[in-house]
Amino acid sequence: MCGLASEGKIGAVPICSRCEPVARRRPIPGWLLGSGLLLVALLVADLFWGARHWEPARDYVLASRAAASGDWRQAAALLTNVLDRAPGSEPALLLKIKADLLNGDPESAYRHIDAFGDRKTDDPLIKEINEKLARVERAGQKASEGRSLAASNQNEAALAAFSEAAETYPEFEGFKIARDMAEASVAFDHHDYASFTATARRLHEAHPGDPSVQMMLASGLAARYAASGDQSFAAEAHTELEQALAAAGPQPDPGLADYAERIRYRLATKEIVTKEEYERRKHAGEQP
Amino acid sequence: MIPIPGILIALLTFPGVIIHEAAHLIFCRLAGLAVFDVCYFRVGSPAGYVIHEVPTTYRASFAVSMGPFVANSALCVAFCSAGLLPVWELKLQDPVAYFFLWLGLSIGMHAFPSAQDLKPLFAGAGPAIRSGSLLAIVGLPFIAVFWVGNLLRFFWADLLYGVGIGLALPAWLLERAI
Repeated sequence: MCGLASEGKIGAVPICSRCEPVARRRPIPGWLLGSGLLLVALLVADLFWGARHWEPARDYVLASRAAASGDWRQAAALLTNVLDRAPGSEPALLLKIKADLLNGDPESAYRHIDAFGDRKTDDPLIKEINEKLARVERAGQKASEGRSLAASNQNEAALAAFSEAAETYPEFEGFKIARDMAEASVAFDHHDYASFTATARRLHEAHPGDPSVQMMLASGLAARYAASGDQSFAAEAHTELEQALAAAGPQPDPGLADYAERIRYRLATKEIVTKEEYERRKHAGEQP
Repeated sequence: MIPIPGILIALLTFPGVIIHEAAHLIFCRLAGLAVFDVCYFRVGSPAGYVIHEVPTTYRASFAVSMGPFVANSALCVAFCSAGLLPVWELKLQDPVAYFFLWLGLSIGMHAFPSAQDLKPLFAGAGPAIRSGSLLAIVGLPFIAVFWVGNLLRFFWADLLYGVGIGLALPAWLLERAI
């Protein structure tokens, strides 16, 4: 080791008496011990740092499986958890957008599209998402047309537009509700209050927390009372109306409050008048 | 195949070289072998070495030759585990994750015992098997695999091994564990 002549040997290697104990117990240099300690510290940091990715990674794997089995609701819920903790994850963002679109939640999908920004990616999901978005936008345009038509009392045309919207994007519950409401409006126009009430009841059963739907049911019952004079319809209409107002809270939407007044007017007068006629009478100060 | 000089690879993966040689030294000391010279890292070929006394038992020879394989592999798995989830699963562009992956893969790439490490194992296997050493019998196929792996280093077998144990295997296990 030191190059000095020696009589000692380790195996076949000649070694001097000064070098032999060093060779027998080769010291570990200080820098290596320091590096070893640094490595241990890094290892601990690595494990702690890595642990925080465990839950989002697990949820992402589970979400991918849920998506593969067609359970988009579960996939979307899991991906919300993933993105809360790993908002920069591109595959999670793209899968979340797709899950939201297929889950009938375009609002959340658009929020995540904004979060995705203008990143460039060659992920095949982009093509799928763009196809679905085109469908959502087409349906949105039809629904918008439907709203304009309904506002101008063209209920038949509004029903056609809402039906097309609901068919184009069947995942979105809102378009189905709009279609059913338009269908009910057409029935109302045709004085078919039984159909109107039946549709309103179905909608109320499907969305029990929606005061506007419950008020629609009250409206139908009031119309049936006005048309038939059957007191049971009036009693039920009053009950539904009060429940709807209670559900709307202490300060209900002005449109809803106005709707409630029209229903009360119908119940009091047993007259079924158009909204415009009701407004005219109201402004003329006619009391029931 | 991309021809990249070994020196460049050693420079890029120097932690693995140092840990490989440090593991040789530690196992030499555990086996009570004299160590004449150690180079933990250098810009040259080989990038590191430990010159030690010839072991008198097959067990000591096996420990000194295979010690770095075990140490480097374990550290590779541990360091890659942190980078695996954010980079492999979530595709996050996180510099900390990439640092841990680099560290883990650098260490994993130098897990393979070198041809020089395997020589005494091959030489000692025959007599050890004849004397009934279970370690020699069980270890021989592994040594043969490592020998082939060493030959395939030109085809990035060492990098593939690092990626395999640091990323692909844990990812595969993770998919099945969830």
